[in-house]
Amino acid sequence: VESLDEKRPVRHPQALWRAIGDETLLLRLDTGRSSVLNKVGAQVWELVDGERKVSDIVDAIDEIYEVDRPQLTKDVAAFIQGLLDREMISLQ
Amino acid sequence: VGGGVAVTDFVRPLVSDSSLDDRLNDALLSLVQQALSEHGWIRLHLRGDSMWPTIPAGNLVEVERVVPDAVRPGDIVLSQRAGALVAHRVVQRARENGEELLVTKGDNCSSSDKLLAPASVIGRVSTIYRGDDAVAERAGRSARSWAAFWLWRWRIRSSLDRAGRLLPRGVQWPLIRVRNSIGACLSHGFRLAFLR
Repeated sequence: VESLDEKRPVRHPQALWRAIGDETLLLRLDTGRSSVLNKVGAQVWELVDGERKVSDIVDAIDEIYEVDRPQLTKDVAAFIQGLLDREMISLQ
Repeated sequence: VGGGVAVTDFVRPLVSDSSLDDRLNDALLSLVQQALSEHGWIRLHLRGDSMWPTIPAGNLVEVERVVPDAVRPGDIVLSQRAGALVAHRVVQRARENGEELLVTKGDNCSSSDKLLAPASVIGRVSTIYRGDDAVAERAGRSARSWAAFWLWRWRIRSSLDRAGRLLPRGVQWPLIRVRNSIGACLSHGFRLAFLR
């Protein structure tokens, strides 16, 4: 989990997305896999731009929500891993 | 609705607000239209058994962009019905009040859908994936024979239905049994011949 901190996640070029209120629908053009991100997941997705590191994303979310920092770091890393497993993003 | 496009939730708790499903379907439709417009194709998982055995539930299919005039009976087309995306086969072109419409039906459904305007067709299934194998839906002798089979099955059953409506109510049931038996036998035999 810690090894992700310095990585820069980038959206997969075949991933399409659409905001649905606070949530976001993701769809892979080539695999047909789809996912629905909840409000926090959608905010993280907006921050996945290939420029920000995972630690930067944690900082940005930390500014929005008053949460326990170690728990937030763990949750964001798990979420990023989930996106990786679903091939919606890659790491640079 | 059978033949609908599957969406897999993964980070969202179970939906408590039923209106969200409509919004989800609208978002999915929007993404599919964007993909077909920009890329000309998209792959989708279909849920439901309405297109079985042609497309078993959960199967991946590739949908291509298509102009309405190019849609032919036998094609499997993607359209929006009751808010959801549905892939069903065109079995006939029909005219109603001077307007040309499409009759669509799931291969595994006993009745056809509501008439569909050709302009409402979002895309056409071009490939069906069975495991690692890609089966061209619209090319090759096997695919054409398969589509022809479903068209003729529809025509025979429709003709028997029309004939049945002309008979007195008391003698309709033998015809209905013949109709259902023909459908079941043809489906089973053809499936054995063409599907692994």
